[in-house]
Amino acid sequence: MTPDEIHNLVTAHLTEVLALDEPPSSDAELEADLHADSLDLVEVVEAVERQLEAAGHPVTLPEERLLSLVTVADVVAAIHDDMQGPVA
Amino acid sequence: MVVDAAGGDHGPPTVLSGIRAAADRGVPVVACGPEVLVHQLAGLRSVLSGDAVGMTEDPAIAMRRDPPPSVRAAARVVADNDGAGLVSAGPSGATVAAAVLEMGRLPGVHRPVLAARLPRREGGHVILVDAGARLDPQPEELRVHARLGRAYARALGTAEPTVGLLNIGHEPGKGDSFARAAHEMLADLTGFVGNTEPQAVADGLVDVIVTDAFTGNIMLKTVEAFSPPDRRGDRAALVLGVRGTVLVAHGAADAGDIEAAILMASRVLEGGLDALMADALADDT
Repeated sequence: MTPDEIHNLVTAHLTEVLALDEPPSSDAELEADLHADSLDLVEVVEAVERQLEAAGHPVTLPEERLLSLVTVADVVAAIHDDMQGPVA
Repeated sequence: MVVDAAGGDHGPPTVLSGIRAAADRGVPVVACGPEVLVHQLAGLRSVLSGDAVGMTEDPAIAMRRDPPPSVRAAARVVADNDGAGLVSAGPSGATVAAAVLEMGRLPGVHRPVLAARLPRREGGHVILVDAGARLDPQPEELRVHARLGRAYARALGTAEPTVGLLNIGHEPGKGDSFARAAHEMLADLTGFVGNTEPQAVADGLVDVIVTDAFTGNIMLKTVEAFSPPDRRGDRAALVLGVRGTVLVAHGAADAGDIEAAILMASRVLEGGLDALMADALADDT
């Protein structure tokens, strides 16, 4: 799955959970721009994880990674990194 | 009734005593907690889980633990079983997070709130929303919170509940920028009567009083602190806006409070409040 496809997944779920009028941009900050808190973030990440698992791409973001996410692009990058598996 | 056996300021022994007392009164109880705890509840049904969410943890991030914390495991049991309800004396943010992630939200609700019943001076109750769930809401969220409060009041039997916005004066334009913006959002809500001072709340001039979670929680705790023990209210609050019955017991609940919260949740379930809430919310504007 490409970063663009992951971006579309993440922004679709952000739009739904936060009841946004349109999908957020990559550089939008979760807290400052979207007023998202940690529960919003976990809700979005778990929805994306469920969808990816159903598509045969199991992903689980660790707690410490979730705490470091600031922008929409950070969420996309974290999921993409996890899909690549551990760095050798 | 599914109970988070690990949550609460006074520790598991207090919660276990409350669970045992409620079970002895005939409420079917399932306890969720680590093995060392539920092992002590011989004869009762139990589900193994991780430990409780700590008071200093981010409650939503804590939901990601493996195994899941006790309150998330409990919410999962509720989600998987029709007719079940959840009671926890753990951090209210963790209970709300568990309920949202496992049970889901009602349509149109971004973030659930806590509804506590405050005793009126002349008897009866006023419903306080939000008593401690949604810190830093946007002003427009208070409209949804008010609708949830009205739906709860209607489900409890008040045909046309009135709603006040908690404020430092009753005139329009009173309060800080948040209160003024919230007033604007509530202005055309059915049943809205305007800004309402605490005195008017105690006098029972409104059925529902709406505010943000920070102010609401201070109000709740102030009422408790200045009231004699028999007039402190329920010592438990209902989570409004999720699919199902969820009760947050007071963090400082003693065994009697835990037992009372389980019995209250059981009555809420038996009364079909959940379905009445959904109906009332669908009707209201």
